[in-house]
This record gives sequence, C-alpha cells and structure tokens, in this order.
Amino acid sequence: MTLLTAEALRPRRNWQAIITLAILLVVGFLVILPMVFLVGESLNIGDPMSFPPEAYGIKNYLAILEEDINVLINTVIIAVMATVMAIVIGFTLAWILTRTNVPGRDKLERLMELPYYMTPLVGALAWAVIAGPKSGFVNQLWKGAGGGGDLVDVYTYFGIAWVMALFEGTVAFVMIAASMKSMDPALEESARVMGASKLRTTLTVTLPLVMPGVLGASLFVFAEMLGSFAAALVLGIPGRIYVITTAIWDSTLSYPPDYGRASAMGLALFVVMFGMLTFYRRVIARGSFATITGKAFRPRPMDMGRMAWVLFSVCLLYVLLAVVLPIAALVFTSLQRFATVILSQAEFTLANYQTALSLGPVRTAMGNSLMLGFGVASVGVLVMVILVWIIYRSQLVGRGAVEYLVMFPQAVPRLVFGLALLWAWLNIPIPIYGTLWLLALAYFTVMLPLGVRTLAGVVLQIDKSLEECARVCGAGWVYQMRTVTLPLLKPGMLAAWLLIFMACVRELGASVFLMGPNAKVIAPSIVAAFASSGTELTAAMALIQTFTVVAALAILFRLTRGVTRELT
Amino acid sequence: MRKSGWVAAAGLGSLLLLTACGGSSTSNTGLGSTTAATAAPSTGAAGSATAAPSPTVGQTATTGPTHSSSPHATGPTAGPQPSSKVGVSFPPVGTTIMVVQKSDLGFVLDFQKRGGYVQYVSPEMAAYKPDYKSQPEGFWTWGSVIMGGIAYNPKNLAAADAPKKWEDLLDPKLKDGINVKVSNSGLQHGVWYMLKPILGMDYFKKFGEQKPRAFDSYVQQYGRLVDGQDKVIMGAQYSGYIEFIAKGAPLAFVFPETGVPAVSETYGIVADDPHPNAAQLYMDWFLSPIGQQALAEALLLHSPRTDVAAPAGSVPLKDMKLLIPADWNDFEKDRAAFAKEWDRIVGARR
Repeated sequence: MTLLTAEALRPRRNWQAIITLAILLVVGFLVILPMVFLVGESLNIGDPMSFPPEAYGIKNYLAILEEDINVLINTVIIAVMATVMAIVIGFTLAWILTRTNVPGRDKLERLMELPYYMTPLVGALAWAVIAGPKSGFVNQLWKGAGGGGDLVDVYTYFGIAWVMALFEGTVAFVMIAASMKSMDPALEESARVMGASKLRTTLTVTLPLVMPGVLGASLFVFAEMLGSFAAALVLGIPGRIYVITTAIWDSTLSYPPDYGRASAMGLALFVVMFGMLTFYRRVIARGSFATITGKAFRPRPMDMGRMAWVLFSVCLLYVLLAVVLPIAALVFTSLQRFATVILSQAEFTLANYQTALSLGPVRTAMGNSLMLGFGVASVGVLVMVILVWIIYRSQLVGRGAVEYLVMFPQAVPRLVFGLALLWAWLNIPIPIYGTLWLLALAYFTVMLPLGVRTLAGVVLQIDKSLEECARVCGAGWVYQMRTVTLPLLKPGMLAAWLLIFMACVRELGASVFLMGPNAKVIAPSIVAAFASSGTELTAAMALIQTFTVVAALAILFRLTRGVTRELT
Repeated sequence: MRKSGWVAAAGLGSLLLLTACGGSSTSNTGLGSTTAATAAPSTGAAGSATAAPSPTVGQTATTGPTHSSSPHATGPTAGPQPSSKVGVSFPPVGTTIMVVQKSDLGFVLDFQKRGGYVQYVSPEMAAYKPDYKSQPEGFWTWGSVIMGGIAYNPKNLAAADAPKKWEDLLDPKLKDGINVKVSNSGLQHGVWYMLKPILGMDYFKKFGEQKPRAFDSYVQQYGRLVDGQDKVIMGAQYSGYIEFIAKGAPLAFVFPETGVPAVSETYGIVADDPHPNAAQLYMDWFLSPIGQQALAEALLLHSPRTDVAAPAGSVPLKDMKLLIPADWNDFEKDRAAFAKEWDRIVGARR
C-alpha cells in the first residue's frame, strides 16, 4: 500500500511542477517582458527609434512635469469627477436593488448589466451625437425651440466624466451591491426600531457599514478612469482636453514618433494605477466586512411604500441614459444622410449600413474580432482554469507569485500595455507584429485578471474533498482535473468564456497599437471611421458591432441552454 | 537596431495613421485602404494594395485600382482593368504589396536615409520634374500635390467678416472657432514652415491664443464647419473642399494673396515588400496619366504631371500661388520643433 502511494505520487508532483513552470514562464514572458521594454524606452533620450537606446537618461520623465503638466491635471480632474459620479450612480443603484423592495428587482438587476455590452466607445460616440455643441440633438432641439447658445456640451471635463461614469457605473454597482448583499439587515432594522427614518438609517447605518466596499470600489474605479481612453479620445480632443492616454496616442502618431515621452507617461500612469490597486487590495484584504457573521440571515429589503416606484424610475432612468438613449441616437443617426433631429430636414436612408457592410475592411475587422474573441476565450479559459487551480488549490511553492503575475495586467492601462507590446515585438526577432497572433497574445494577457478573478470565485466554491476523493481513489492530477474539477467548473468556465469573449470583441486600448493593415479589429476601426468618415457611417458601424456581439451571445446561450441556465 | 525593426518603427507612424486615423489625406471611410493600405491613394498613408488576379492566357490587365467617387467609397480596390498592356503575369488575388504614401516629406527623407524604400525607376518617372523625385531617382516620387488655404461656411460667417488673408485669422471674433490639423500632418507642417518666415513666429504665438482645435482628417475639419461647430479652417486641404462642395456643403475657400502652402503626397515601394514585382507594376500604373487621372477623379487631388487635368471644378495648379519648401532637408530638420510647438498651439502640451 505504501509502495503504491509513493509510486502514484511521484508522477503527479512532476506533472504539476512541469505545467506550473511552463505556465509561469509563458505568462511571465507575456506580462513582464513588454514592460521591461517599455521601461528601457522611457529612459531612451537618443534616437527614439533606436533599439537598444543610444543614450539613457530621465529627460522624458522630467518633460512630463515641464511640458505635460496640464495633461496630468486634466487626467486627475476628469478621473476624480468621473469616479465621484460613477460611485454615486453605483451606490444609488446598489442600494435600490439590494436594500429596498423596488418592484422587478431581478429584472432590473439584469438591465444594469446592459451598459457593459454597450462599451464606452459606443457610448462616447452616441453622446457626441446627443450632446455635441451646436450639432448635437439636444442643442438642435433647444435651438429649434428658440433657445440661444448651447444647452449642453459634452466636449467638456464634465461631459467626458459623465460618459465615463455612465459606463463605469455598472462596475461600481456590481462591487457595491456585492458588499450590500453581505450586510446583516438586522442592523438596519435595529435602527428603524429605535425610530430612525429610512434616510437616517441609510446614512448612519447602511453607508458606514458598506464604506469599505464603497472605498474599494472608488479606488478600483478611479484607477480605471485614469487609464480610460475611448471617451477621452472621442470627446476630449474636440474640446482641446488632452489626458495621458490621448497624449500617449498622439506621441506615437507623430513623426518622429516620441516613444520615449509616450513610454514615460505610460509608466507614470502605471505607477499610480498600481499604487491605487495595491491600496484597494489592502482595503479589501483587511476584512472590514464585520457584518458577515456566522449568524444566518436573510436579506430583508426596506418597504419603501409608494417611493418604491420612484426608485424604480431611477433605475429605468439609468438604463435610459446609458443604453436606450445612446442606441436610439445611433440608430436615428445611422439611418440619415446628414444627422439631424429636425424631422422635416431629415433624409432617411439605409446607405450607411449598405456602405458599412460592403466595406471589406469592416467585414474583415468584425470577422477578426469575433474570431479572436472565440479563440482567446476558448484557449484562455482552459489555461486560466489551470492557473486558478494552481493558485488556490495546489500546495506549490511560489503559487503566490503566479497570482501576482496573472493579476499584474490589471494595473497596466490597456493602451500602455499595447504600447509596451508594440515596442517589444518590433524588436523581438519573431515576425508577429501586425498579425492577429500578436493581438491574440495581447488579448490573452490583458484578459488574465478578468478570467482568473471570475474563475477563482467558482473554484473556491468547490469543496476540496471532491478532488481529494479522486486522488484517494488513485486518480492522477490530469485525470482528476478532467473528470472532477473541470466538469464541476463548467458553468463558471462558461461565464468566464462569455466575459472574455465580449471583452475581446470590444477591446480598444491594446488593439489600437497592435492592429495592422492585414490584422484589423472592429473597435479601432470604428475610431478610425469616426475620425475620417462622418458620424452617420460611424453610427452604423458601432451598431453593427453592438448587435453582432449581442447576436453571437444569443446564439451561444441558445446552443448551451442547459449550462447557461445555471448562470442565471 | 535591426533593419527590419527600425523600418517597421519608421513605418509605424504612417501605418497607424492609415489604419487608425485615416491619415493626412484621409477620405471617406478611414479604414481606407485596409486591405490595400499603402498603395491605396484613398488612405493617405501606408499600407498595401491588392493586386489583380492572374489574367487568363491571351488577356491583359493592369493592377490599377478601381476608383469610386462615392462619398463613402472605400478607395481603390485592385482589379483587372482592360486598359494598358502589361507583359508580365500577375500575382493572385489578395497579394499584398507595400507602397508607402506620405504627405510628410520629413518622414519620407528620413525613411529613405534609413533604407526604408527600395529603388525602382519607373519609365513613367520621366514625366515628373526632378524636384518631384528622390535623389537618386526611384526611391520616391510625388504622386499628387496638396495645398492648404482658408475655408469657412458662408452660412455661419458672412463673406464680409470672413478672413481674406492669413493675418485675418488673428481676429478675436474667430477665437474658439478655428480648427487645424494635428501635428503629425505633413500639410500642417508645410503651412507652418512656409508661413513662419513670412508672418513671423509672433504670428503663431498669437494664433495659439485663438485656441484652435486639432483634428486628424479634413473630413472632421469640414464636418465641423458644415454643422457650425467651427467658423474657419486654417490650412484647409483644398481637395477636401472640392469633395464637400460636390456633396452640396455650404463652404467657401480662400486663396490668400500671400500664397497657399503646398506639400506633396509621395509614393515609394517599401524595402521589405514581399511582392516587389507587383509593387513595381502598381507604381507604373499609378504614375501613368491613367493612374494619375484616376486619382484626380477619385480623390480630387492635383497631379504633379502637367499632362493630367486638374480635378473637375477645381482651380488648376498653374493658377495658384503655391508656397513650396525649397529645401526639403531643412524642412525635415524642422519637423520635431514644429511638432512640439504645434502641440502647444492646439493645447496638447503646455
């Protein structure tokens, strides 16, 4: 018996070690190496296109303070404004949907996810159509009604922050709602019994209790806002408002390309984001959620009486502003020859869709995006499952390092990571720059935190004893993974697959630097169309992208009905 | 740095322009020449063109792009056209060729110095002035001439109030109402380079106080004039004006008496081109009167060839007072300083 156990253990340990080492090397290569190249380039004060740099120095960093201080200030102002708005939106929605008896809670909660399908890029394009100065629909109506000047202007700090907040509001909502759901309602009930009003209860009991969750969400959202690119690109440049991401973008487009300046700004942004996310993890790890006790409780929402319908309207208002209005504006624009909200002047046509669909590049870009989404999600989820298992289930020394490594891209703004990959792969003698292979590698790398975080939740829910049973019965590690762990993970894997698929199809930040003439993807192509082909055609393209993703997901849900039912 | 590495790096600006922003002379879709990038006159930047399918025995064809003047045309797509006879077999459909097209001669000269172009002396180059070709000949050649003046929308700005000369752009009434191109535009650099000695650096300092907004393409610039977001374009690309006028846009174009700065759109075959023969065929076609006429009709650009008519409805080159840099090497050296200063003027830097 002893002999049998010893023999069975030896190959298992080897397999784990070999696979772990291989994954560590591959992930390390994908995650760290590009950043090393970026650091090198940020210190390049010679010919910006020389590799390795001809001269080193910190001139590029000093130039940030001398020449780009306004860019830094703009970035901070917009990120702070957008974070405040996103947290207010997220907190309000989370409170309504978790702590009150608002009608149709489950369905409303599903509706709150819709902005995730919309993407900030599509949202920014839509809000440019809705609230652009002079030509925006709102201002056209205002002028038509006899108003003078512009009623709204989205090309401002507030406008950019507003659009960013609308779409990051969903993230804040999910994070804060999770915190609220874990709160013991008896504490609120005690306050009510003692005579506190609903508002006072919310402000003096609910808010302090969920404060760690709100603080965590604020840090996370602020870090996301700092690295935001789409809204700043579409709405900031027409308003002469440049932020770090758009300044990086501009630096690489100029000739000679200022890679040094772009790299230094990218790394500065990375350091701040890294600090924010480290702080966020500490806040979360500190375990301030004292409301999660061993005592069983059942969430008991507050009875809001007639106010429940007002709160219901607030939720619908969010969906209206973040989804319905932008989609409607884009549909209306895409069906016109020249965008106008004055119906008497409108010339309706399907030509924009005809043009968009007839453009080989659009079809190719959409096809490439779907293919990359499918491929990266399929391969990525399998690799990520193994990573998650290594991190949370294995006893291997250094599994903490694996976790750190796979979560690292979360602290790197997508645009900066795209720049790092660009610079790395221009200089690595493997000719994949400008091909879909590099985009696939980039997508896999930047999706690692999303996939691992999603899968980790599922892995931790599976009782270890099930796996131990398999091992006791003589199953090897590979056999155990195939017959026990993976089947149990199936719903979680599908959820991760869907998230990664969607994130890949809508990816913009990393793609803008990595796509080439023969490797186009849809989000940067929409940005290109926005810059050069007019609003109407761009609106058609953005809608084609949105509906293609929705259709692909609907088909997938249909095909995997049995499994996906477990997700909902 | 390895050759392929820096060639790729050098080309990146134009590739990005093409693929992501539509480039300096971008028209229409912005995806432009996606399949056909560089060779494609529609894109204004770099890329590749798709060569024609192999003709069956006894047939002849050209690799020439087919052009469309549709407002939303995607630019040229290569296809067989029964015109001039070419005595070589053609590569299959989908063959990628790499011909760089840039309006920024600073980039072009630097790219040549770094060995980015392959030399090919097309027989058609004999029809081009020596000033319009690389030294030595065959690395790059002017494919069109673009010029920048002043444009405005008469519906939003009365002709009496409209600027007539460059100095009029400093009128405080135009503050916050002017748009320009971004600093990576070759045409904008040309405007800066040619006007700076005439109007002085002080002019541009004052111009910065007008708070101009910078955009990637003329489509955005003219679009903002049409819908009233801006009043005037400084350095307005003339071909864009002709295009918008043809679509019925209410625009007016001013040729200031000082002159209109002009730069070239320059074409050359990339050194790493996987299909150099196909690229040479493309250049032969493109530089010929047929190719140049197609370009003029499709993208409304003026050909440097004297035997090719100006785009319909446009002022011929001979009737314009063009301000063209005399020393392109000095122009190239000025590139980095211009980029920084222009970024300051448009608010992208302090």
